[in-house]
Amino acid sequence: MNGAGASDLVLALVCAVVILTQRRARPGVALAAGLIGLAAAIGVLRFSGLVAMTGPNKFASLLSAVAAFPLLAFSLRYPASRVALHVGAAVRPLLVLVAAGVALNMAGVTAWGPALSLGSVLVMLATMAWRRQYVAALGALVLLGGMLATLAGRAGAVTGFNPVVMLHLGLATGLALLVAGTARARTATAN
Amino acid sequence: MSPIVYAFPVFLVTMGVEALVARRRGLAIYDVPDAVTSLQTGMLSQIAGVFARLLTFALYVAVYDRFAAGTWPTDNILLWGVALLLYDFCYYWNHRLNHEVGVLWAGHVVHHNSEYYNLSTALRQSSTSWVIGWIFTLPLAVLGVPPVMLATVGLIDLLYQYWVHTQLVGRIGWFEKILVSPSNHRVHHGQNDYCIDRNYGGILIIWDRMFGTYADERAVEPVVFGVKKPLASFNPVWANLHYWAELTGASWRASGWRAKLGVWLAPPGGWPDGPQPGFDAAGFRRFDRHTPTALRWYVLGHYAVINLMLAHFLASLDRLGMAQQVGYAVVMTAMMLVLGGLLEGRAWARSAEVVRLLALAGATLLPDWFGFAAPPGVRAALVAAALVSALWLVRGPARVVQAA
Repeated sequence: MNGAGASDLVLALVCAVVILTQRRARPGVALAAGLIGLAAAIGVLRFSGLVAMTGPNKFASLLSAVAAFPLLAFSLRYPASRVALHVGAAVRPLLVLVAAGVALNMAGVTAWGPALSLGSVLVMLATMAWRRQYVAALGALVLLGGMLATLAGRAGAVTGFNPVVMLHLGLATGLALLVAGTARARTATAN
Repeated sequence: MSPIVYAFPVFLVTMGVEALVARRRGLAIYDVPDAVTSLQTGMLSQIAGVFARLLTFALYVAVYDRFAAGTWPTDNILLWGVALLLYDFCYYWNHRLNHEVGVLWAGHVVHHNSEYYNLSTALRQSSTSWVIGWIFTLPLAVLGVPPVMLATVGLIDLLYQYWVHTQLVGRIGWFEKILVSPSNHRVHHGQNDYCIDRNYGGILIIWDRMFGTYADERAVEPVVFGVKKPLASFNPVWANLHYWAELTGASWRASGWRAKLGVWLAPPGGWPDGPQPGFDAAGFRRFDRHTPTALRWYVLGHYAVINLMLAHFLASLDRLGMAQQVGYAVVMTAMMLVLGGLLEGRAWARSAEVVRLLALAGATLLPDWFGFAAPPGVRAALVAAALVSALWLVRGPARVVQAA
């Protein structure tokens, strides 16, 4: 397993923890983490030498970009909404997001995925900053940094690091901080 | 050529046999206006499918080409079986969400708005369910199921579901536990409380048993077919669009962007707000415009002509350019609209039908009909049939009135 595989494993583990801890209280967040985790788990196989998993890994990553991040952002922005609180409601926007995302991507609008995930992270950042949930805001900032660094790395604007590893670690750290930060705030509000 | 063209004669013969057997048994399971509407929506779905497949099949192929884990060999019969199993599993979820999400129900409702249940109901297919439905085949593309395999197993799954749309077959013992049958699919088409959101399987009913959506048909509570908010129309285009229109209106009236979007994603009828009133079987009345018998048979006869045109259209796709395909599709759709209007007794429909008949007679003067050069005998017969029909209509059959 190379660095990309190891970092995907870290991301997959973080997603697994999020799913296990949030599936009852925040199914919208858990479902989004599930999609990201699926991509990461397939990535572990891909970067461990299973070349056949390259396509499925890219496809699952596309689904994460066009569907999981918007769902995560919505669930955190509107924590009392049906989408955030019921898995049966959370799956509904995914259908439309997946249909639009895949169709646009196949039509050559490849910027749709990165734009949507970046937009979602900005929404999360603004929401957390507005609510003064600083741990979660830091998580959104790490997600944003990881995504921007990856885009810069892939474009060749910045060198010296592996953009894929950077993305995986940024996502893992950012997601963990976001979920922990908002969960702590929920507990504090409940108390 | 579309394989459905070869299935047309089988459909027509089996529906005829079913109608005859039902008549002998004294069962009123067929109604000509309802059956014609089912058949016309089926034809419309075939026409729409020609254009929709350009997009959905292209998307499948594109995803398959870019993301497939590999390619399944097509010479392994076992893999065909696995592909069918996977397709049926994806079909279950597609079908289930068709019933649970408003925007998907908008595409699927047409299959359920018949208040009768017979083989023609099986052909009452949607023209718009492809809008989102195509995403449910994507797992197969990523797994490496070749497009030809997908198309074949999809057709097998669809054709299997034809025979289960009948009231003439009762329960079939162990079969019911594994496979979709007439009995358990009747439940799926019911609007009784115990039937709602049940039995989604395509070929295998085990998916419903696994995921908790199975219900047995009850001998003590006969299934009442149809949907809770009836279509009340024989117009095949409106049958496809009425729920889209309803969602658009509800979304327009909703305040705030979340509510506007939420309308499309909510369950059909909206999110339940407290206990719902139970279904009142005794208060149920089927939609009936009391279409005169002669007019029913007239429409059925002219439907048969459009059916032949559809067979020609599907058989000629390779030879027709896009503009010709669109033109042919528009002509057939307009004809179906007029026949639906006649069944409903619409004031405009009789004049429109006379114009249609005169246009049909005039079309025989063309050198060919979208590549089909009819022999003089056929042309003469068409002109005669059109003129006799027009004369009969102008003399006027009994007035069509709304049921009391």
